[in-house]
Amino acid sequence: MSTARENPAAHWFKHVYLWLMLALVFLPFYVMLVVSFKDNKQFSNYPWVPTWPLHWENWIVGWNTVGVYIANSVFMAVLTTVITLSVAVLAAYVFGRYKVPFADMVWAAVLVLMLMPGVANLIPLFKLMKSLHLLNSLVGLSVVSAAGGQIVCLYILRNFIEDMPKEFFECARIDGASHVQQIVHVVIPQCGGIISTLAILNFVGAWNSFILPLITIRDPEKLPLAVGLYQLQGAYVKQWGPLMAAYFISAVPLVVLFAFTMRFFIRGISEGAIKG
Amino acid sequence: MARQAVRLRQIRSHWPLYLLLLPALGLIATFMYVPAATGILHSFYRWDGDELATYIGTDNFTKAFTDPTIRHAFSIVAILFVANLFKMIPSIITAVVIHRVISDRARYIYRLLFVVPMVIPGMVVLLIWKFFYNPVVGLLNSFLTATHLLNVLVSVNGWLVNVHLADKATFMADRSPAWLGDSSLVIPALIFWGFPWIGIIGVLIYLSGLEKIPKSVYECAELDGVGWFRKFVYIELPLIATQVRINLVLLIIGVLSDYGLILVLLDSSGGPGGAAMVPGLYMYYNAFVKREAGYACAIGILLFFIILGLTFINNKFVRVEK
Amino acid sequence: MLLSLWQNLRKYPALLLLVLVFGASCAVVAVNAYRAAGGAVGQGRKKVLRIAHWQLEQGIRDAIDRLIADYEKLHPDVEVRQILIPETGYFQWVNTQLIGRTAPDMIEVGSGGTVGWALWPKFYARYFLPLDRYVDEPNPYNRGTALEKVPWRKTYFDEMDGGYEETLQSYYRIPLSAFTERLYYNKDLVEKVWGPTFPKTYEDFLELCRKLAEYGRKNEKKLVPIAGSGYNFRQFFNAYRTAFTANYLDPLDVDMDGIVSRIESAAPIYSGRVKLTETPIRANFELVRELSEFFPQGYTSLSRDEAIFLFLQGSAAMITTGSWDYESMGVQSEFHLAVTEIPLPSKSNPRYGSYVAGPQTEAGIRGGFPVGITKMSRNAEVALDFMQYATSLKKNEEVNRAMYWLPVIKGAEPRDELKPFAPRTEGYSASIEYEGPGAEMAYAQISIEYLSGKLSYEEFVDQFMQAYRREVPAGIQDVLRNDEQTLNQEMRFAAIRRAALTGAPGATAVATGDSAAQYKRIMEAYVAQVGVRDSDIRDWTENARQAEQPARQSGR
Repeated sequence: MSTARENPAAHWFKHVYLWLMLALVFLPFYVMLVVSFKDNKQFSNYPWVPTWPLHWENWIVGWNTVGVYIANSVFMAVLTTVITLSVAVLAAYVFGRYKVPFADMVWAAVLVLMLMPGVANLIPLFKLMKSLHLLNSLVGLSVVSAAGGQIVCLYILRNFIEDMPKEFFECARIDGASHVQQIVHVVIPQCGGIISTLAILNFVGAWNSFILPLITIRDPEKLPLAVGLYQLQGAYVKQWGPLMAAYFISAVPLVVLFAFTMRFFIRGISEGAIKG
Repeated sequence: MARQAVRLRQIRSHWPLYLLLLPALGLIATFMYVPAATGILHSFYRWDGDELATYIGTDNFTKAFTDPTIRHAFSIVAILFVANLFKMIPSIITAVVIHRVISDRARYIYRLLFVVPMVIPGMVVLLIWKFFYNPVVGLLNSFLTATHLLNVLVSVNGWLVNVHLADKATFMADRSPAWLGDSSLVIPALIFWGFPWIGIIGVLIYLSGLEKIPKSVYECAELDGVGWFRKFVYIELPLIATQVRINLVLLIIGVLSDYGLILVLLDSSGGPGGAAMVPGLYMYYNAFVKREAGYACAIGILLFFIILGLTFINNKFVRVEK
Repeated sequence: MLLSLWQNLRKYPALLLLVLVFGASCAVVAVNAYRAAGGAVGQGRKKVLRIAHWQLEQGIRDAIDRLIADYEKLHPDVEVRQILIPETGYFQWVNTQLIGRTAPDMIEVGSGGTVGWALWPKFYARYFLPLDRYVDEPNPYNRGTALEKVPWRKTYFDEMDGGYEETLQSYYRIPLSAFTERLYYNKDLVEKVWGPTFPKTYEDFLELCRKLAEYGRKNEKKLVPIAGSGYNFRQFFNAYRTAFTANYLDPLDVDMDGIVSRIESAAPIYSGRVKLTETPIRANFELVRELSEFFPQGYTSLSRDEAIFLFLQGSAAMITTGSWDYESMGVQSEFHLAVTEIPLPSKSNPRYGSYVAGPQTEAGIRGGFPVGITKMSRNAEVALDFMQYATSLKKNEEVNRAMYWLPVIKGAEPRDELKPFAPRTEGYSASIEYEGPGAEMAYAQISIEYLSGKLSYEEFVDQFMQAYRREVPAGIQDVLRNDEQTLNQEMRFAAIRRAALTGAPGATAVATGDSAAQYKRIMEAYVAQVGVRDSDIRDWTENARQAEQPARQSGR
C-alpha cells in the first residue's frame, strides 16, 4: 500500500507516535532494571536514574526468593498445558469428525460454560477439591486448571477439525489407522500451528494463575509465581532493589518462551483471527 | 466438511469414540458442572464454607437485591466497563499506525518490539503499578511534583470546590495524593492503570485482521483521493469490527468477573471505605473473610446470569456490517 | 523408542530446552514435596510441624529459626517450619486453610479487623485446642529454674491472661511476647535542633516540632517533624485520650468496677449528658489536629510502612510505634535511635492544664504474639511441647532478646535497649470510648475527615452525633445480648460446680481438672470484680476451694 508520494509529515507522525508508545510501554522494564541495582539509600535519593555502584547482590537475593516460585510455575504450567491439550485434542476430534448422538446437546452445554465466570464456581470448587484431597497440591491445581482451560481449546480445535478435508482421514482409515493413530498422524501435524498457539496461550494463562493457588496452597515452597510475588510485596520493610530484581527475573522465562515461539504465535493468531 | 453421522445403534461399534471423549467430559463434569450445581444448592443455605449449613430458602437472594454494597459494586463495574471501552482505542490506533508504516522491515521490527512487554507476567505488571501509585516513593507522584502538574490539579480542584461542582478538596497543596489510599482517588487510579492501555494481544489481532485488506482497495482509495482519516473509517474499521466485537464480549465477561486486579492493588474489602468493591471481590470477601459462603454463592449465580444476559444482548444487537 | 524420541527432540532445540527445564522443575517440586512430608536425607521420617504468623519484621524470622534449631537438637525427629504471610492477606489465608483442613499446626491468632474480632472466638471453639488441661501443670522446660513447680500459666507476667478467651472461658492462645508503645526519635537530629534533653511537656514538644520544620526549610531538606500515618497517629490520640478523659471515671463508672464499659460510655454520650464538645474531649481531638500540622501531607492515608520508611530515611524526626519495631528500625537507621514517652500538656497550660490527669497505665497489658494450636494437627502434642519450650524461662528470654521484643515470663529480662519499653505500672486509664457500640464505622470515617482538616470540630461532632443516634441503640442491644449470654454461661458453670460439691441429686458434672479449674477462675474473676467487700462470697469461694482439695488428691 505504498505510493510514490507519501506525505512526509504523516511519515514522521507515525514513527514519532510509535516510538512514544514504545517508550511508555517499556517504562516498567526500565524502572525494574534501574531500581533493581539500587540499595534503599540510593533509591531514596535518586529513584529513577541509574546510580553507581551497582548492587549486583540484589539479583542473587531476588533469585533466591523467586527461584522456587519459578520452578513451581514451570511445573504447573507445563503439566496444565499438556493435560489440557491432550484432553482437548481427543474430544475435539470426536466432536469435529463425528456426529455422535446427543453430541449437539453436550456441545451446547460445553459452550455455556465458556460464559461461566470463574467466580461463580470458586467456593463450591474449593469444597470439591477439599473432598478430593486436591488441596495444597500443585498437581491437583494443574488438573483443575486444565478442566477450565480446555473449553476454549475444544471450541477452536473443533472448528479446525471440522474444516479439514475428509480425504486426510479417509486415507488414514483405509491404511487401517485406529482413532488414536488418526489423531496422532493426521490431526496433530495439520493443526500444528493452532495447537502451538493454544499451547502458548494455555501456558501463559497457567503461568499467571492467581486466585485458585492463593486459596488452596499452604506451603510457601509450593507457591506458584503470581502468588509468591504477591506475598513478597506484602513484606514489612520493603527492600525495593531485590524486589525489582525478583520481578525482572520472573519475566525471563516468558521471554525465553516467546523468543522461541514468536513465529508460531503470530501465525496462529492470524489463523485464529479468521476463524473467530 | 460434514461430520460423519453415528447412529444410535452404531454406538457399540464406535465405542472408542466415547473413550476419547471421556477425559474431557469427565474433567468438565467434575470440575465445572458439579461445583456449579452444588453452588446453586448452597445458595439456598446459610453456609459458613465448612460444615454449618442451615436452609434459608431464597433469603440470600433477597438480601442480594437489597444489599447496598452490591448496588455500589455494580455501579463501579459500570464505570470500569465504560472506561475499558475507551481503553480499547489506543490498541486499535496503534495497530492502524503500525499497519500504515510503509517499510515492511520497519513494520516487522515494530511488531516485534510491541510484543516484548507482553511477556511480563500479569502479576508483575500489577505490582509495578502498585509501586507507581505508592504515595511516598511512587513514580506517579514524583512525576506530578517534578512537572508541577500537581499544582495544576490542586488549583483545578480548588476551583471546582468554589463553583460547587466538587464537595471537597481531594488534591491539597503540598500533599502527596494517596492514589490507592484515598477513597475519592481509587476509581481514577483503577481507570488510569495500564497507561498507555495498549493491549499487545489486541494489537496483534487487529494487525492480522488489517493485513487481510488487499492492496487494491487502498489503491482505489488513493485514486479517489480519500484522505487518511476516511480511509480509516471506511476501510479499516469495518474489517476489524469482528475482532472488536469479540474483544467486547471478552471485556464484558472480564470486567464483571475479574477481581484479581482489585485484590492485588487494594485489598479484599475493596480498598478505602470499600470504594472499589466489585461483585467478584464481594463474593470472595463474603466467602473467605466473612464466612458467608451461601451468600457468596448466590452472588456468583446472579453474576453468571447477568453475564449471560449481556452477552446475549451483545450478540443480538451489536451487528457488524460486512 | 527412547532413542528415536531423543533424535526427534534434537530437531527442535526449543522443545529440548523445555523438556530439560520441565525435568528440572519436576525435580525441585518432588524434592520439596518429599521434604515437606518429613522425609530427609539419611534420616528416618521426621514429624513436620508448621507455624504460621504475620510477623515479618526484621530479625523475627531469624530468631525463631534459632529457637527451632535448638529445639530440633533436643528432638531430632521433629522439624518445624515457619510460614510467613503478610498481614493484609493473613485472615483470609487462615480462613481458607481452616476450611480446607490444611491448616498449620500452630497459627498466630488475632488479625482480621472488626470482622476477625467477631469470628475468632468461633474459630477457637471449632478449630483450636483448648489448653485448660495444660495450663495448670508446670512447664516441663522450666525444670532447674525458680519456676520449676509453678503452673504454666502463673509463670506469665500477666498470668496468661493474654491467652484466655472470655467468651469461651478457656485458654486457647499461648502468648510469646509483650508489647508497649513509645515515641521514637532521631537523637542526632533532635540534639542538633533542640538539645540533649527531650521535651517533657506538650508545649515544648510543639516548639521542637516548629524548630524541626524550620530546620528542614532552611536547609532545603525534605523534613517532616513527625512521621504520622493512618496507623501511627493513634498513639498520640490514645495518650491524650487517657490524659483528658481519666477524670471521667468517677462520674461514669456506675457499677463501680473500676472501668468504664462500652455501655457506661455510650449512654452518657447518647443522652447528651456528656457532650463531645466538652473541653476535655475537644482537647483530645484538637491536640492531635494541631499536631498533625507536623505530620506528612495526607497522613491519614499513609500506611505504617511508609511512615517508617520516612523516619528511617531521615525525612521525619520522630515516630510513635511499638516496641515491636525497635530492631528493624535500629538495623536500618543510620542515626542514633532513642526512645521516650509522649509528652502531655503540662498543668500550667492555660487551655487544657486543669484537665490533664497523667500518662496511661500499662499495668494491665497482656501478652501478645499469641499462637494457637489447631485441633486438626496430627502432631498436636509435639506442637504443645514446642510452645512450652518457647515459653520456658530461659528460652523465652533468649528468643525475645534475639527478636528485640519484651519477654512474657516472669523474671525474664529484655535487652537493655528495650528498658524504656518496660510497662508503666502507674498511671491512668482512658474513661470514655467514642466509637460506641455500633457506630465504629461512622466514627472511623468521620473522625478521619476532621483530623485531616476537611471538617471543623463542630461539623465533626454534628455529623458524628447523627450517626451515633442512628446506630448506637442497636449496638447497645447487641452488647447486652452478648453480656447476657456470658452471664448465663457463668451461672451455669457455677451451678454445675456447686451441685457437684454439695452432691445434689442429678448432678452429672464430675470434678475433672477442666471444669474445676474453670470454676475456680470464674469465681476468682467474679470476686475480683465485685471486690472482697462481700464476705459471703469470700466464704463461699474459700469453701469451694477447700472442698476441691480432696477431689484433687483422689486423682482426676
